[in-house]
Amino acid sequence: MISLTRASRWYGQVIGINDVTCTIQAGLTALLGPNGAGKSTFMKLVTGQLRPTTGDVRVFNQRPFANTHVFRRIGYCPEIEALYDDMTGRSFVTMLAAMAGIARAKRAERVDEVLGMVSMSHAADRRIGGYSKGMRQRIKIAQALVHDPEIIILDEPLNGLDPVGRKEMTALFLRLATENRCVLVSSHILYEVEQMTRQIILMDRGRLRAMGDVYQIRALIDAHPHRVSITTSRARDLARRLLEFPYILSATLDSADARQVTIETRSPDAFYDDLPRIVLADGYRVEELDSPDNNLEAVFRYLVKG
Amino acid sequence: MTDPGSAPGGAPPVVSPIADLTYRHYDGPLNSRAFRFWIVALVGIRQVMRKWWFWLLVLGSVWPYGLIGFFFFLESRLGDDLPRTFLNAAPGAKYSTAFFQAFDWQMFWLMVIGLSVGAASIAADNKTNALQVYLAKPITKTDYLLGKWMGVFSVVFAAALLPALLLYTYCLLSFWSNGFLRQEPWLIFKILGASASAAAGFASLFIGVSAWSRSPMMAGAFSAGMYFASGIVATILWAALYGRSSASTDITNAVLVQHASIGGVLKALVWNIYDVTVRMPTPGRMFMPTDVRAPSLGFVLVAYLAIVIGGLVAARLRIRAVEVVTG
Repeated sequence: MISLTRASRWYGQVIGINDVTCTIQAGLTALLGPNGAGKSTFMKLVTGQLRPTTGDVRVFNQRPFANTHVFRRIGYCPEIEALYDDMTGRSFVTMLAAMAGIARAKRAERVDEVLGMVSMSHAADRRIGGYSKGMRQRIKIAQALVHDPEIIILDEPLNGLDPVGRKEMTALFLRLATENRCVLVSSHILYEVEQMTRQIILMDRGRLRAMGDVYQIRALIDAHPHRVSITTSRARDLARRLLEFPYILSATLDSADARQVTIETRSPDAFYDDLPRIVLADGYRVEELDSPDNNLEAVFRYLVKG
Repeated sequence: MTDPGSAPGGAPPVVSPIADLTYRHYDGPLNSRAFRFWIVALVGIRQVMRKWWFWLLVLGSVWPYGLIGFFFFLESRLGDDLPRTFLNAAPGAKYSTAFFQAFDWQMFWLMVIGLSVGAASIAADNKTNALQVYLAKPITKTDYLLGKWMGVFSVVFAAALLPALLLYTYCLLSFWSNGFLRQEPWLIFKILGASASAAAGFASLFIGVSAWSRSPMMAGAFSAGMYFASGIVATILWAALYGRSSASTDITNAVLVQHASIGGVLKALVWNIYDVTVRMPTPGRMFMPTDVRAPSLGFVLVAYLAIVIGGLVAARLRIRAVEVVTG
């Protein structure tokens, strides 16, 4: 649905994104990166609001810049405030529905539907100026969905939402993604992203650092061995036993909790295959098994912060 | 027979307290892009029409035609007892002269109305970043610009035209038997042309300035400043160059210099459209008004097109969804 080929965008001497090549298919993909990584530039290139300085950006196999045929099939929720305080939520979404081409006869019905989807029906006729940040966010999401787009680009869509709102919107994005739509969400809250998807695009300083399934990416990071913590009453014994295996690089006993041992390995698959056999054979009673760096945060830390 | 969805006894249907958040598709028709600019225009028009002060400005723009209508009414009652005014201008131009006079009085109000709609139009979108949302919808920058322009144009055009049409209707009904239509058959087209050209001038100017600002207040102040400053400069030039001259050849040039301002150009164009002779103070004979013709249409048209095209080009250059900061 979306493809970038060696796409770069400079603002004078400042690099927005640099030589990015990637393809995004249907499903929910998270766009991650620290501030200034180029996430917003990436989204603006895809939504056709910027033209790449070099390289090529394609959406539905067409160049999106100022391309109304592409815009018709894209829903975009920008990160920044983009609302008129004087208008009501309903009139704002209705206006954008009209701009998106929703026929007059169906417009009110469709606006009601999307306002319902983002749980804003009750406040739709109030002025936007009186909305909380979360309500404004919901209205921005509603306008992005009103024309039933195939690609939905959401820049920090969970900002300002309360926990219930975050859960509702996350569920909505997941539903959209399961309908063969492409949902691209940027966020800096890794925990929330992890709840939504395993497919990530990780950017740093304008460059694409990683793309794909977060666990596969983690498995490929050789520079940082996988750590696994095991809590058992015979931690010292277990440590000694595990060190017999060549793929175990180290075993460290926790100074604060004598029942916990943390091992490092470059072959997590072999380790997870052998561990149950060892536990059963030697009668260890495992209370807890945790892999503290086999998650999005670890990937982010290792790839972005080095 | 009871609707299965409704509660018994005619009570309202039971609505679940849990919101239905399932995603629903839109399977209705989609309009083509044609006339989508009108949606942008309507937003601007509706927003300004909700302001109470806008209607005060409209009221201000109506009174010149009311006053002229009152003069016509008095004339019809008093006849020759009325002192010589525009009401007995050159034969065949009496009504054109009156309408031009009304337009001249109305022009300040049209400028303020245009300013109130136009200065904020794009500047407000820049301020709220609404362009990021607008330009992600299937409309082009040209649709957007045309919509914003039409929003201002429509309001100013309506404010200029409607009172003129009311007066025209009054004249038509009251002076039909006096040969109103026979004497000035093209007057209605002159009214339309005058209203449209003034509205287009104001719309282009204010849209052009508005696009370059992120603050509606600043855009308004700058637009008003440009408008009045150019008028003051033209008046100073006029006084300096021709203030002591009484040569009749200088009158034409003096009138041209006097209208070398934004408001002056718009007025001069309308003057050309009505094609009337106006009695006004002239150089060296301040207290002895002279009948003068409109400034040369060629010069006026060039200046007018510069305002209209310049405003539109300035706006088109600046309209973009993304604030690009170069470093």
